[in-house]
Amino acid sequence: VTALPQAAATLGALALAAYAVAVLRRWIAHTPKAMVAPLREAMTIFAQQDSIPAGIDHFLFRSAPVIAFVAMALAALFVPASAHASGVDSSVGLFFFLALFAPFVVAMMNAGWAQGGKAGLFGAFRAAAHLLSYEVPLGFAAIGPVMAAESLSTSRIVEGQHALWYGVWQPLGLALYLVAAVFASFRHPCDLPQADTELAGGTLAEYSGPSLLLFRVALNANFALLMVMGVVLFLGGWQGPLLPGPIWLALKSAALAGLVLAVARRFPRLRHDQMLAFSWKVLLPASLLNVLLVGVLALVLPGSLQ
Amino acid sequence: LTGSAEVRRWFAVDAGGGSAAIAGLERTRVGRRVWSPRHADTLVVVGRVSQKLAPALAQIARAVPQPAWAVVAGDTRGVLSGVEAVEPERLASALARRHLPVLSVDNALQSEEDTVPLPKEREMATELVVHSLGPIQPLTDGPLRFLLICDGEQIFEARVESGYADGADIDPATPLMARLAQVRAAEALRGARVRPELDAARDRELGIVRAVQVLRWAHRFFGVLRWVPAQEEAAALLGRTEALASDSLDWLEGGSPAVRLGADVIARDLRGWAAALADSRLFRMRTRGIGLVPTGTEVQKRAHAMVGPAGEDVHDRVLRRLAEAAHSLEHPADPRSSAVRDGDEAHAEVFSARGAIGLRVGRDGAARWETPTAAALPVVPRLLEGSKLSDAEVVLASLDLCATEADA
Repeated sequence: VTALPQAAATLGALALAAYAVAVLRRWIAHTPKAMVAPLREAMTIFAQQDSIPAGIDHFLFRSAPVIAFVAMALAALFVPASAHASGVDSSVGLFFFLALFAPFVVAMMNAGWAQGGKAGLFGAFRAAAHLLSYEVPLGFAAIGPVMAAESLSTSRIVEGQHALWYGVWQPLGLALYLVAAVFASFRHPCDLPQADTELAGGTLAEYSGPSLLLFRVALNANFALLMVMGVVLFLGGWQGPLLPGPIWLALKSAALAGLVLAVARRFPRLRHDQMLAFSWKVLLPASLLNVLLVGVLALVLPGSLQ
Repeated sequence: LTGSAEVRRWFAVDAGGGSAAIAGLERTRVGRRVWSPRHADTLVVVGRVSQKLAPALAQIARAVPQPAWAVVAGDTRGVLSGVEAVEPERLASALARRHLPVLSVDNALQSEEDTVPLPKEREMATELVVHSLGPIQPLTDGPLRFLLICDGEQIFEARVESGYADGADIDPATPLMARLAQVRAAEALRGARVRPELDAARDRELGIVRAVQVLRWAHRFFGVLRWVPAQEEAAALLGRTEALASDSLDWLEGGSPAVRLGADVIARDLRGWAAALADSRLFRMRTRGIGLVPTGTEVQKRAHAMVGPAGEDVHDRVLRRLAEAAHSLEHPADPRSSAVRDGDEAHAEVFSARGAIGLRVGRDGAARWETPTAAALPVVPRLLEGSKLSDAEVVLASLDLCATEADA
């Protein structure tokens, strides 16, 4: 019985976070009416026909946006919003959270594959290449806070930062996490699976109406969740003076998301092999180095700072 | 709700010569440009749709989910019914209107199937895929179709198919070039003597139009790269140069000091930007070593300004063309243009930013155009073959191919 309001609250927060990402993106690009435009756009998309192209794989096509959204909604359950409010306070919460990003990629691949067209097919394989680029660096970057807190529980990780944020003494880990998060959330400049000019939208090319809206909400939610988790892992989560925990978490996450979006905007779109090369030749060794550094620092630093 | 301009999602169809109007629309930020017709709620068609393009347009129009609207600047050849054409200059205000004509498609038009015979003998037994890019695609000026036969992301073979543009004008966006070629050819044919000052004044005006051409292309190119700061820079320079071009009456009179100064300032900023690009690691990373003109390739002289010499890649091509634009702002008089009479024929050449546009006119009125795009098309597949699919779009965008030129 208590699960129902909690589920509703999680879904509401997720939708709000996805909306906030849309607003931030427009605000950074100086688009007029950044606050209301996403809502009105969402309404016009929703009002449009959900067209079913010829030659699609019906089940995969229809289920892909739902899988993407459900995966993100489940991941949202593992975000600790304050000392007492977390959907599921699991002892391995972070592991679950990161694992739920794999079904998201599968949903992207299904979406591309199901269209039965070549643009979608290319998009599907690019999405698969994405999984290979982000997964290992993201996991290794997240290991830093886990080592420091000696727990995979997201609320324990936040509590471990009451004296000093992990981001302060693990800046490399934070940077690696953010880069991998841009990869994982299919954001520009790593949005090759949805490449518009040569694939006319790639994996999302054939979606319209409510399905398109759901997919785009899921994509924004994906990015928002990764930013929130970045705050949880490195920037002290809900902790902060005066204001209540959830507000602090939202403020920090919005600031972090804005920063990442503003920096990412300055890059041209990357090629998938450049992404893969960067991921395996730079991000992976750097994240291993980070694990080593964190291990040494965790031994050297006085316990009160950890 | 549905008539709110700021959330309009438009898909652009450039039927030939519409790139200037579409770039203008992007810069005014009325709504948002989308790249799949399924994501759009408004279809924007610019230019005259040819017989060959009509089925492709119908297919795209059918893909736009209802409710949908249409804005047309040109002639859709009856593909879209119930729309009234607006002037290309008034496209932005037309799109911003609250009530637009409803998009409805003539159902009689059937889209053609693409069947391409695939090469048989191959070393590896992987399956090839034909990726059809176009004819409506955002990489060129006007509709051109590219058939990319891909082995995974690797392009194995490329083919270009032209003939989708209604080739009545060489480039409707810059009518000056073709018209001047016609005038010069006619003068040469009649043996008319033109005052040298007048001829020089015409050349000077061409200088500024060339810069506008290059900047329009740069705006499109950086849009394809999805590189926002560079595209914004191109848009700003383009706006300033277009404003200068609208003062071109002064320019024609021999160059008023204000216009001269304006041109020099833009040229200086353009050079500064090109220098910053040359230093940019990001730019190098994304454009180095792709779209290489193979050594030993016969690039026709006419296509040199567009394709560049053997060994040139996208990186050098972009920088060279920006430098050329700056040069033509600083030294607008162009000594290269010519008009000669040869018996019963006259031949005139005018230099656009893409290369030399030639016109051969006989006494019987027969006219033959020689355009840089037509000269470049045979080389294009060689630039694409062996490259990655996601590089192909960058290479194609770097070429500034113009469909109306190819089909003239």
